[in-house]
Amino acid sequence: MMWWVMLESLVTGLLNISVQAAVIFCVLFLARAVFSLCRIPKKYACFLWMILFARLLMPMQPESPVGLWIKGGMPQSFVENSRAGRGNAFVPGELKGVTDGNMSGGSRTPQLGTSDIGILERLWKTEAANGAGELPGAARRILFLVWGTGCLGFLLYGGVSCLLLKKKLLCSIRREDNCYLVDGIPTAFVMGVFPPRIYVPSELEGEDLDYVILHERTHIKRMDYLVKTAAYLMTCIYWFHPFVWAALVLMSKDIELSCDEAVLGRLGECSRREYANTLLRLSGGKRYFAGVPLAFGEGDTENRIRHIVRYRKPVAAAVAIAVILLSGLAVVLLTGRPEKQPDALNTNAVRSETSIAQPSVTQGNDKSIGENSFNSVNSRFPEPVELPSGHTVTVTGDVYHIMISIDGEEYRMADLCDSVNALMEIREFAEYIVVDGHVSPNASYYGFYSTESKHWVRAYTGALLTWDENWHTREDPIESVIYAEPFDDQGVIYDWEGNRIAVLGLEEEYIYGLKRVGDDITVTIVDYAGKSRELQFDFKDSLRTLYHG
Amino acid sequence: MEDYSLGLVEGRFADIVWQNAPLTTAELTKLCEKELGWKRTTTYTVLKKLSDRGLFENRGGTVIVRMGKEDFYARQSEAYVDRSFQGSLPGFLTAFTSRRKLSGEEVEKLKKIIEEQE
Repeated sequence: MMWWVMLESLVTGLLNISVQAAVIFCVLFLARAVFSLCRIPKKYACFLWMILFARLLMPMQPESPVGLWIKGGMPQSFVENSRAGRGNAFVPGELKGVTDGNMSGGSRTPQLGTSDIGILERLWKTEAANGAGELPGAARRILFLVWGTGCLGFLLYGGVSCLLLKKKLLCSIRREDNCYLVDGIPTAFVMGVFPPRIYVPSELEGEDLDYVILHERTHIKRMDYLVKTAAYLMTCIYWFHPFVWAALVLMSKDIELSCDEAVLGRLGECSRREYANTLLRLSGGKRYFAGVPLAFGEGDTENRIRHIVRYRKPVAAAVAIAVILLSGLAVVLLTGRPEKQPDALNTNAVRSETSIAQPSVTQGNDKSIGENSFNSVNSRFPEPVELPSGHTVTVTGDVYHIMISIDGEEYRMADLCDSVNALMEIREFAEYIVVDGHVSPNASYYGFYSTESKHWVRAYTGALLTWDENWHTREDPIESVIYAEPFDDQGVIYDWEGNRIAVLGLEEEYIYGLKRVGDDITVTIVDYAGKSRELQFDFKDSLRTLYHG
Repeated sequence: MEDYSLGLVEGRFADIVWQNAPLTTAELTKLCEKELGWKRTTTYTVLKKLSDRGLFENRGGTVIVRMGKEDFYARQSEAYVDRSFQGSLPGFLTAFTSRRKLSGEEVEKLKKIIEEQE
C-alpha cells in the first residue's frame, strides 16, 4: 500500500513538473529569441536552458513572493480556473456544492504523515491522486511500467552506445595530457567524467588539430560535458516530454556556439577566419565523414560558421541586460509563492455562504460538539469572535498564514502547528480557548490556550477530541479530554495525557464520534458503507481492563 | 574486399612491428607499452585486427610480417579508402562537428561567407 502511495506521488510529481516545464520552455524560447535579436552572446542562452533543467532536477520548489507558481504546482491563472475541481474543502473561497462532489475519492485514502510534505503540495497531490484514482489499478500500473521502461530504455541506449564507442577508442595513443589520437572516429569529442578525455581523429594535423583541441579543451573548462550529461539524464526521466527533448537539442546547439565564442575570445578575433575554415574543412571534407547516421546536429555547421563570422565582443550594456533578465527569469520561473491573500471583502462574502464542508470523520466531531452545546463558532470567522466569557478571538490570514489574535495578543498558527491550513472551530472549555485546525481530511489539530496563564498549554493531533460534558465538577477539566487518532485501524482511544484508555479492535470501520458524560464514554463507529453503531464503556473500567486485565 | 588502410595509430603500431619483426608477443607488448602507452590487451587486440587484414601473423608467440611496409602502402594507394564509423556518437558528448556531411554546394556557400568577412 505504502509503495503505491509513494509511486503515485512520484508520478504526480513528475506530471506536475512537466506542466511547469512546458510553460518554462515557452518562456525561455521567447527569451532566447530576444537574446539573439539583441546580439547577446550565446553563453547566456546556455544559462537560459539551465533554468529549465534546474526545474526538472528539483523535487521541491523554493518560495519567493514573485514566483510564477502557486505553491503546489500551477501558475496563478491555472489555479483559479481549476479551483472548482479541487478535491479539498478547506481552501477558502470555495463553494460547498462543488467540493462535496469531490470529497469521496480522497478522504478515505490513508495519507502520508503530515509533517514531511508541505500542505499545499499535499493538496495538489491529493487532487492529482484523485484524478489518477479514477483510473483502474491496472491502467495505472501500465502507465508506470511504460514510463519506467522508457527511462530504462534511454538510459541503456546512452550507456550501451558509450560502451560501444569506448571499444572503438581502444586503438589510440596519447598525444598530450588528456588528449588522445584515435583511428576511425568521425569527429573530435570529449568523453568520460572522471577525468574527461579528448579524443581526436588521428587524421587531423596542423592548424586543424590545434583548433579542434582548443575547442574541446574549452568544453572541458566550461564543464559542458557535465552539463550535457546531466541534461541527457533529465531527458531520460522526462522522455515523454517533447519540450524537454527540444530543450536538449537547442541547448546542445547553444553550447557549441557559446564554446566557439569562448575559443574566439582566446584566439583573438583575427583568427576567426582560420577557425571557421577548420570547421568547414572538417564538416565538408570527405576524409572524415561517411556513413554516420543523421543526428540532431543537422545544419549546425552553417549556423556556427555564420555565428563565428558575425561574432563581436558584446557591449557591457548587453551583458548587463542579459544578466538581469536571466536572474529575473530564474527567480520567477523557478520559485513558488504562497497562495495569494484574497481580498478581505470578497472572501468574507464567500465565507459567509460557506458552511464547513468537513470530511466524514471530522463531521463526527462536529456532531458530538454540537450535542455538547459548547460555545462553538461554526463559520469561518469573518468577524472577531466574542466568547461568552468575554474573551475576543480574531482570525485573519489564510491557508498557511493564519493569524489568531486572542485579546489583542497575536499568534501565528504555523508556529503552533505548521500543517494546519484552515481553522474550523473556536470553542471555550473551562479556562481554555480551544482552536480546532484542519490538517487533512482525516486529522485535526487541537490547541488549548489558557486564558489564565495566557499561553498555549496543550496540543493534540487527532481526528476526534472531546471532553467531559460535566467538566464543571472537575478539579482540572483538561484531564477529562479524550481523543482518537485519525484512521487508526485498531480504534484506540486516548486520555488527555496520551495513555490508551480503550482499544476497540476495529476492522473495516472507523471512529466517527466521541462523547463523554462523567465517566460514561460513547463511541460512534461507522463502517465504510455508512452504517453506524454505538459502543459504550466506562472510563474507569477500561483503565482497569487495560492495566490489570 | 581486403582493407588496405591504416589509421595513424594503427600505422604507428605497424611501424613498430615492421621495424622489429620477428619478435615475441612479450617483446611487442613491452615495446607498445613504452612507445604508445598501451595495455597488453590493447596490443593483442590491434595485433589480431591487423593479422586479420593479412599484415602480420602470430605464430606460436612470435610475430612475423606477412606484408612488408612498402608492399602494403603500394596496395593502399590503389584501394579506395572509405572509413566508415559504425555506431553513432551518443548525443550527450560534446562533439566538434555536426554529424551531417555538408554538400559541395553548401561548402561553397559557407566559403563565401567566410571570405566576405571584412
